[in-house]
Amino acid sequence: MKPGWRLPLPSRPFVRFLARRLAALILLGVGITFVAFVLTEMVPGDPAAANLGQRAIADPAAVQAFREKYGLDKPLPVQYVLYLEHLAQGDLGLSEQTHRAVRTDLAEYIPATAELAVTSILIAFALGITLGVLSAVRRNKLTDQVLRVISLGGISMPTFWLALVALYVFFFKLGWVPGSGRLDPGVLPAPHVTGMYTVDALLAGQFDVLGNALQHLILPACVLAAYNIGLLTRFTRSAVLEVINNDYIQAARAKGLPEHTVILRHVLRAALPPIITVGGLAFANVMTGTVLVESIFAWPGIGQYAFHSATTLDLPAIMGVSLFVAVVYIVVNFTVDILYGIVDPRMRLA
Amino acid sequence: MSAQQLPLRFRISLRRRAGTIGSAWQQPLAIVGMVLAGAWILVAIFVPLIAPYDPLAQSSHLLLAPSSTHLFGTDELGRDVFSRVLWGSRLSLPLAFLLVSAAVLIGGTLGGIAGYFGGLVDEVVMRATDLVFAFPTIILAMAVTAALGPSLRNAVLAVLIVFWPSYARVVRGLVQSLGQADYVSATRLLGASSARALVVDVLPNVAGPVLVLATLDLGNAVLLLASLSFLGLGSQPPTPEWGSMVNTGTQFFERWWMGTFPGFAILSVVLAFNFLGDSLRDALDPRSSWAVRERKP
Amino acid sequence: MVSTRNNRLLAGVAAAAFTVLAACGGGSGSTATTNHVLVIDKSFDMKTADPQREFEVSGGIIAKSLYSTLLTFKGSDSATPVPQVASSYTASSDAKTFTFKLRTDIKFSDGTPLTSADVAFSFNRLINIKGNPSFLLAGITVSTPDASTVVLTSSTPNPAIPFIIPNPALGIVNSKVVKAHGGTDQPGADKADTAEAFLNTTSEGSGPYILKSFSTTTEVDLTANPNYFGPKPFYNTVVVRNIQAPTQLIDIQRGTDEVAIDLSSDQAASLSGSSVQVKASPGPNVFFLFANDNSKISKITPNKHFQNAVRYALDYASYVQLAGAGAIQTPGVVPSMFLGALTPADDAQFDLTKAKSELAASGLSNPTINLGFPSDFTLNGVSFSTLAQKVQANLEAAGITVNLTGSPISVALADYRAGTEQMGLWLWGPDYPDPNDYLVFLPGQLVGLRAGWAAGSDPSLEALGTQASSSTDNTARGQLFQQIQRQMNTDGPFFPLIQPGQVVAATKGVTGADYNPTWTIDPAGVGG
Repeated sequence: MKPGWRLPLPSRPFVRFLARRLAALILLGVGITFVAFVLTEMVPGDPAAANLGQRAIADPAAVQAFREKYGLDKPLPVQYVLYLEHLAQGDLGLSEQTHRAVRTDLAEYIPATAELAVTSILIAFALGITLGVLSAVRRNKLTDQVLRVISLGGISMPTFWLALVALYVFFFKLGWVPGSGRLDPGVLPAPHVTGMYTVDALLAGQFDVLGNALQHLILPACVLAAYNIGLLTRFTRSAVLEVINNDYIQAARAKGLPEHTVILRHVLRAALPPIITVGGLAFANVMTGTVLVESIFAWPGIGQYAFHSATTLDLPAIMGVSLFVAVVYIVVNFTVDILYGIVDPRMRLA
Repeated sequence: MSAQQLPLRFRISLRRRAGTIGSAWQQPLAIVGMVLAGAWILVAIFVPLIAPYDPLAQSSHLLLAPSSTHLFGTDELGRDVFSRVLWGSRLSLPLAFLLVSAAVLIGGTLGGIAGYFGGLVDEVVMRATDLVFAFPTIILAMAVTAALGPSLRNAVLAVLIVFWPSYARVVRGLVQSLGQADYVSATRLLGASSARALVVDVLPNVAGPVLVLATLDLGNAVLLLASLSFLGLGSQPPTPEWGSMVNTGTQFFERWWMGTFPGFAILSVVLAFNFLGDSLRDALDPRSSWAVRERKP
Repeated sequence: MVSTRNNRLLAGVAAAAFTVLAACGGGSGSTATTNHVLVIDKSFDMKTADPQREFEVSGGIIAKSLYSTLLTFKGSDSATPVPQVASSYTASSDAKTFTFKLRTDIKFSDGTPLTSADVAFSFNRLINIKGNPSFLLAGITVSTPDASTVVLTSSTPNPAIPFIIPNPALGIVNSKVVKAHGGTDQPGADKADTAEAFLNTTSEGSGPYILKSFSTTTEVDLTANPNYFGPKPFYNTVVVRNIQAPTQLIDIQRGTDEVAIDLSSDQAASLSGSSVQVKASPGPNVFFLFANDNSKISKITPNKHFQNAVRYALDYASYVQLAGAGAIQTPGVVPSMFLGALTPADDAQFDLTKAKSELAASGLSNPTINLGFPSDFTLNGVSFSTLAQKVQANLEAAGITVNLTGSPISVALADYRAGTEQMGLWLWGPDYPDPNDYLVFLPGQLVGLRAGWAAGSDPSLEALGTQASSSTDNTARGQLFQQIQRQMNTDGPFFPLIQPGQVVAATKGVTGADYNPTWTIDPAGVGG
């Protein structure tokens, strides 16, 4: 253990802060589901009309059967309470578009989006932080200006447009990557462990499946990462700039440590708090991006499920997605708070 | 992350602003941004004189590739894409300005009130902003437009709902820290009313960061409106809105000109605003950027 | 110094990444079998693999492969039902009783012999489940005098029965197994039947394929049924993938043993010169415009001169051009390939001068109406949003102002169905390949009501309809339907526009990928 480096054990005030945050976040989660419920009820349009055929719609018996099956024949407050009751038992209802339990749908789509999101975030962090540090170290020189334009370009680009152009160039014209889906047709995924094809294939040792899955993953992940790369470059740059000339950094230099050690060990650690904050934002950005990107790449994840549910008025599915959104928000924010506390000594003692 | 506790560093930097807005204009990127934004504004104003065709005029020359008669080609109804892209600026630009102004006004006022009076008012406003922040931007915007019915007007409303909390948060944070500053207390002690203190002492110090955020949000507003129209929840046909034009371009994939040029239009406008905002931020305080929250549309 | 280290780091990571990709990927996933795999690209609208519940295009492809029906059609034909599970059938002279003699050598995929009990179970289950396709057997009772005879009795004369039977929703399921997994054919099945989840994982049919995996969002995998009674299909594995049309266009140019179904005529045109085979023929979907005949909905649209003005104001040729190769103007609501269809001689004519004079004769000044349509819906490559904009432009030229009030289909359907749209732009896809299906357009009927055409609005037409529906002589029936459509074209509020082309694209070497209106594509009939 290096001298001067304390083990980040949580202090009492910090634990209390975390507990308060958790409670607030959970309350927020409930609020989200309520808002989602209200919004879906406001949507004009009849789920029965959206899901029954032209002929069946005219048959009152068929419409009634549909309504009863999906619990649409009860008054709204009753529906919400019933929903919460079922939720407490882990039953999220039946999806009108897939005719399966919403829980099953989510279990299938969440890993797909998670795989895409995590890959995209890893790419964004790796590239973003590296470029940000580079930009800060080379402040106001040509490298910095060029990187500035690139990062601003990243956050200015419409994701849906980038996806289209990327698909057109890399798939249609160049043929470097396959066009859609998570695997080539006829290729079976590895035995289900996490639901993420790459991880499962790695665990099972099926390297050909791993390669195939990676090929399908790389382009959508990069497209999704574009915005966050721009964001992270900017934030890392300013965060690093804030600390790079601080006294203790000067002291480290004066001690004779090589510059790259100074940067990597001291500067980055000091710059971590804002970067972690942005990490939370980056996750939210990726969730937003998946709605647009998944349909273009035919990636069967939560984004396209959410969009389908919204357009077909699949109310149980919409509620399921909102719940998922709420949980992700809670988890990500809580993780950010914890990490923040670990990394920023002042927070711990607050 | 909450802007509830601004570190000491930031409060100090408010006093010694590194530069004035004037110095922003000398940055090369700012100049590029100005020129680009200026060009688009000019286009939006003079488009009836510049556009070669009526953006709604259909013809039998369907899906033509770019040529000398149709610079950007024609679309699925034989309309000139170049004219439609130019006319699109009359939608995206004014709406973006309107949106951001409204968000600044509403969010800033609410945040200012929350920060100044604290207590229950503060709690209510903060919980409201929390709720909005919890939803990924586009999902909330999607939900609102779906509930109200797809139209450009409702899309604007949805984006407004999604944008105001950022300003509320920023202004609240700034007002809180400033409210404790000595010179404000001094003014109050001298007998000035809350409102006067708010306007005369607090507002000028708040304007800077808010201006930066607003300029950057102009680009975000254009992007979010375009995304909503891309999903079919914003502008309706035959309006020549850039996002919905890219959507049509998706269906005619191999007719690359239909989606590429409107996309470039979006990119250039947003880039211009981002260059401007970034230079502004650098000029006002190059090291305080992370205290200002950035959201993706 | 820092930069070179970072650069080296970056380069190293990039090199590693590409090495992994190159080493492991190496083209499409290798499957070490001599399997013939057919890939069908279709944008999914399916909800279930349970035949008695499915009534969507993509669901039909799956059900057709997994389940056999009493009668079927050959290739792309819709005019002559031929025996499949039934070896022969007879119809009574009043078209109320149909007797089917079953083959005795047919086994389900698990080896169980198929008997009339299974047919009765499947048909009764269809009726009592009250799902989307249940209307197909409305008013029918099923009886089984012996193990190889099935008799269908209809309460009203129904000469369309032999054309309804080949529908995949009437696929025959293995009654013992389905009953054991919660299936029931008794009244109350809409609540009591729980076999859908089971049928979504395992198929219990006698079709050429069995279900390997099923997803309504990604893909459906089928493998050859070892106990199939018919000729073994060329492709022993079929993968039906959910892919949108633009990606289908790209995939088909790079694939092998692949068929794409959703390409628009325009996209197909861009394939000329490549090795992809493209077949474009008029599809069975009829796109039409209507003006609401109900004066409570609008004071403008029921006006007969207004309706005539609209009829003349539409530039029909431009709609055909919009829809692309394979599309035709449809002279009446019955599609060109069915019995009773009109000929191009009956096509409505575009005449702007007449349109304007009719509008003047109507006495309306500055008529402004709202046009409703599904704004996010595209079929056969034709987007309703595009069509609506064309209608708007055509009518504006004649002096009628049109506000486009489209909404996503889930919302728009509600207005359409309730009959509250002032003008509407919609389509009718055939439920079965027979003109009886188009009686819905008459006053007081399903679609007629949506256009505000109430019962009693045109008694002579309604009488013709009743006569035609029960006519047992197909030639006479065809002529009656032609008469009906001619009268609709002058007196009615419907304006039939186009039958967009149906494009089927197949990679080189693939044969037999023929389009059939009843089930779109029959994978078992495709050869390589």
